[in-house]
Amino acid sequence: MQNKTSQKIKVGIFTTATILLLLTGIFLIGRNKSMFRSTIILYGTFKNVGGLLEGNNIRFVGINVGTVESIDILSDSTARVGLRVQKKVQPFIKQGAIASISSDGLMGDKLVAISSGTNTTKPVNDGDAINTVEPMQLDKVMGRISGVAENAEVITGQLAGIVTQVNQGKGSVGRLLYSDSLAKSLEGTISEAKGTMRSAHKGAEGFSENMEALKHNFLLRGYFRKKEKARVKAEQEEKNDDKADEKPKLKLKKAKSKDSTTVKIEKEQ
Amino acid sequence: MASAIISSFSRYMEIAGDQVLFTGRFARNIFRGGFEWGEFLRQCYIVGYKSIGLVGITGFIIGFVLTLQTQPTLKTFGAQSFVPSMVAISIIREIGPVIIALICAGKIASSIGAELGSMKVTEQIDAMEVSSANPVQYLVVTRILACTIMVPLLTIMADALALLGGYVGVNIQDHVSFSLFFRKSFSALEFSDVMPALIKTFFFGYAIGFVGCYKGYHSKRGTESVGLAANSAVVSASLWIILLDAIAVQITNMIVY
Repeated sequence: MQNKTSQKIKVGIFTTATILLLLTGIFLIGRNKSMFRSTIILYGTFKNVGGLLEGNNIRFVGINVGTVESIDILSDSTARVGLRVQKKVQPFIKQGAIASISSDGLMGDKLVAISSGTNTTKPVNDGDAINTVEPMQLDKVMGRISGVAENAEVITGQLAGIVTQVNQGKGSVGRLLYSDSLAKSLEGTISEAKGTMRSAHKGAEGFSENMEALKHNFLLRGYFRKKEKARVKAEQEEKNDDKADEKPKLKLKKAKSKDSTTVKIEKEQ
Repeated sequence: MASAIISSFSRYMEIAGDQVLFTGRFARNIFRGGFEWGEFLRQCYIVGYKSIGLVGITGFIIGFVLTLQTQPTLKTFGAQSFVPSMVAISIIREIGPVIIALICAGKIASSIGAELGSMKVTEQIDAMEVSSANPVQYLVVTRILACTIMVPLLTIMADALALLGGYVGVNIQDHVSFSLFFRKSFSALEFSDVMPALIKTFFFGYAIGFVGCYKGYHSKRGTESVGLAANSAVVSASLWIILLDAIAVQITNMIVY
């Protein structure tokens, strides 16, 4: 009888433990699906939900706050998505909030992202409808890209035509690249310009001689002397200023070197 | 030739019909009154409690090995963060229930087959029938029900230990915190993963108990038939588990998806 009782106890412990394990597992799974928390529901209507499924996550400022509860077709062009959101984030979601459908990572799991919209301060109520943004549709994007590609084709075609004409030496660019006459005439122009420069140089030399002669003329000598004196005076003042500035600088330098040595010593200590 | 085929076919139908009748006897005897609670608990102890060590070690190692096997492959895709989810889904949905059921078939179906077979050979079952005790109620019902209830519990325990083994396996190469691993595992799981897997383990348990009891109860007279009963109980139970698994996955996919 003693043996039987201990057997019963062991079976009882085993059964209870495993059932508790199962319940824990169920609770953990349910918690991820926000099943045992108080929640509110919000609605958003989309023209195209882009493959959203019931049970996909809802994110608000990047945090998972709930799951998609239902997706119903309202008419031929609208679907209503029920968003089951935790009650504790309700005060943060304002009435102007915008729901958009995006995808998560490379694997492409869809999710609903709620972003705070206009600056209204009223939080949403249970059962409210919130604004939505249509998801970016890949086929539309591809359509635009193909338009861009067509434009690019036309442009490259025209570019090819221009390049062939340039290769054939047509037009000013072609002549620049492929005909010698332009270069030769350019060379001629440059040598002529050199001659011109030489004569201009001679003219300038003559002019400076004239000016030197004028400086010694008694009519203008006084003006130039005054100018020279003013220049010498300014130079001397500058020198004095420099000396006055250098002294404090030297002191500073000494102080700095002292500081650095003391710092070093402190570090070593 | 034709007669041989017909006779083997009729032999097969005879066995099939016999099994159906045996199921009927089993079902009738559950509700007959005077349920053998003491014997049922003793069988639960033998089937469940005595298998904890075997099943626990198996479960832990399965999770551990599965993690180490998937990790390099997922690493090449840069999808290492999917290791916990993948291990959890594959263990809970398929590997845990089937492997544990096969282990239990080896341990439990053989022992039941051998036990009832030797009782048949030593004419203990006949003696019970003569003395107007109900051998089906006392021997068969308790064993089958004990298996049906204990195998799912063992599977739950093995699943939990396999996840723990997975955690250890991940932590051999990288460091992942306990809570992150389990959060990832459970975020990948749905009730549609857990419930069908749990329900099918009841059928696995029933198959183990039923095949063991049937083979033992219907063994021939003679010493070698005890070994034959034990052997064929394990083989048929394993086969039944695989077949039931194939049926279960079809039904699950039909209902859930």
